[in-house]
Amino acid sequence: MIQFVLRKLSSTAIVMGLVAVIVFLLIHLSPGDPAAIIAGDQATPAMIEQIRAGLGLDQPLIVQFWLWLVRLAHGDLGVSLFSHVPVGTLIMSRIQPTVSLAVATMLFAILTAIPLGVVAAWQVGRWVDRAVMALAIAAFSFPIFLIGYALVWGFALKLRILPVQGYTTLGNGIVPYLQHLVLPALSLGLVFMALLTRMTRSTMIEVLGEDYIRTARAKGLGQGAVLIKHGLKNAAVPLVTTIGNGIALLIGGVVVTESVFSIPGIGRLTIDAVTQRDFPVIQGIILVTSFTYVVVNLLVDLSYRLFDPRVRA
Amino acid sequence: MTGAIATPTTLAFKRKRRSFRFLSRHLTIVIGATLMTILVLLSVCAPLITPYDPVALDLIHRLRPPSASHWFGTDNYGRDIFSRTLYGGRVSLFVGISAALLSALIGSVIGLLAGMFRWADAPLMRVMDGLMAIPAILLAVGMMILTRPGIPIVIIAITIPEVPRVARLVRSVVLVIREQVYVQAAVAIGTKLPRLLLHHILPNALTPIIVQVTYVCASAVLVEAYLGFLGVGIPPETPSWGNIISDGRTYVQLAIWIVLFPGAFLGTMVMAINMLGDGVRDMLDPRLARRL
Repeated sequence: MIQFVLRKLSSTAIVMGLVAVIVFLLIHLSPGDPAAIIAGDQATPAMIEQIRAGLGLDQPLIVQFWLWLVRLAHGDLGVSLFSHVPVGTLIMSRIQPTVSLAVATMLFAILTAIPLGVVAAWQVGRWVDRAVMALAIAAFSFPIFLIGYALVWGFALKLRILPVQGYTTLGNGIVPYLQHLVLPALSLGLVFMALLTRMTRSTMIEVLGEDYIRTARAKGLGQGAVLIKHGLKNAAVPLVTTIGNGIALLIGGVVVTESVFSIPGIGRLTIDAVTQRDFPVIQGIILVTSFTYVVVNLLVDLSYRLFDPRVRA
Repeated sequence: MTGAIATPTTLAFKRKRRSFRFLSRHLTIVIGATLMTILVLLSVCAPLITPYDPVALDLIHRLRPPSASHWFGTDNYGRDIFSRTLYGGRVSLFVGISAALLSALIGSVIGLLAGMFRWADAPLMRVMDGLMAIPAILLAVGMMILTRPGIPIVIIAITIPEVPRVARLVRSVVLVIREQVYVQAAVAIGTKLPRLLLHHILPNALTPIIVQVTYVCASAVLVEAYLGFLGVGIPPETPSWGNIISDGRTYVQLAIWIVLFPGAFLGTMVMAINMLGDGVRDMLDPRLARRL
């Protein structure tokens, strides 16, 4: 067990290192002069030089990489080119709305997708299955912003039962907090619901074909018990993997969703940084989100040992 | 005499019935292919169909709702959304298909190398893991803000995050094929490596690659739109689905049609490609259903 954990930790460390290298190389592999592009078309040569020095691009590559790694090891993600606030501070100040949105989205997706997928697998080939699959394929084909605008138009502008946009903290009461999260979580969650429903369905179809399911049915166990206790429990591992891998997609979707609903989170920070071409901020966000993804997936890998005794062997 | 006449008609009847059975069994392919054909034709024939120049300004008729003269309405510069949507489809599809083919090519080469040569496996796949960990949209955004916008750079920015998905799949397929008896036989009779790869391994890995490429294409069309939406896509003067939506974003409460129509075309296109991918996967290899 300890050996297994150590091996996982070391491979995670390698992947994190490679993410750091890729993110570092991003600015060096781009064609053209990044400093000139960040400075914009009206920039004077002096301004371009100032940005170049600010990014440390005037030093040899290997020196830059070393300095960057040392800073990173101290948790220093650099400083915004425009507000001159440390990137780490910027990200921390925006993290709460994003985490709220991500958690609400995941909860919605998991709570809807698993029942839908189980029912579809149980009724495979019948109309219920076809309807669920049609819903799933539509839900991950339409862009998040279109679903978002459609929901805003329907629920906020026409029915007037939910706020159009914005975010309030839990401090202002739980009801307004949740009201502001419903539409964003729904727009972003449909994609995950679709992904997870398809995975639940296909895994469950496979599991339901196993001998132990036939045995369970033969000994007279009820449909519900067969599906949940014998079926879903054995389908858990691929589902947890899908949820873990989905984090990367979720983070991309958060950027778009926060823009549609004007939520002041990491996504909004990304968009503001994009319009100002504030590269250190983008670089910091990419690093933090990628590391989050890697850590979540490490936890998922480790949790298999708890879920599935077969992996333990 | 009657029998001689009846036979060909029965055959034709049987053939008709068999093709009908194919259609009903593979309904996803039929719907997907039909939708896709319609949308591709509309985009390709855009110059013949569209009533207006997609970039012509008409400031008197700005932000008009859909009507007989402007089917999908007009935007804040009075440009016709119907014309822009059809022309935008050409750019978006070109970007999507190019990114899919490019990532298939690069991903297959990496997957083949990793699957065939043990020394290449660990380093290549760790780099792929690293790329996989970076959210695709953010990686593309990171590349786009450092360069001057242009269609080739958008294609590259969409392709790179998709490469690991293809590479992982090709590697896992190659690992299985490599152990098959016919490959070992080919090795035993002294088949040279290039021939082994091109004639024995690649053809048998083609089905999963094709299916994966359709999914990558669907995702690429979506990412193009997201990049446009975030304002880092194709140069704003070229209409693409992403750009039209990006322009309409500010007017969404005033003129929802600017976003609605290109968005609906985009969603339908992505859905058609996904359906085609699902259908082809189920038809060619039902066992693949779990792996993709």
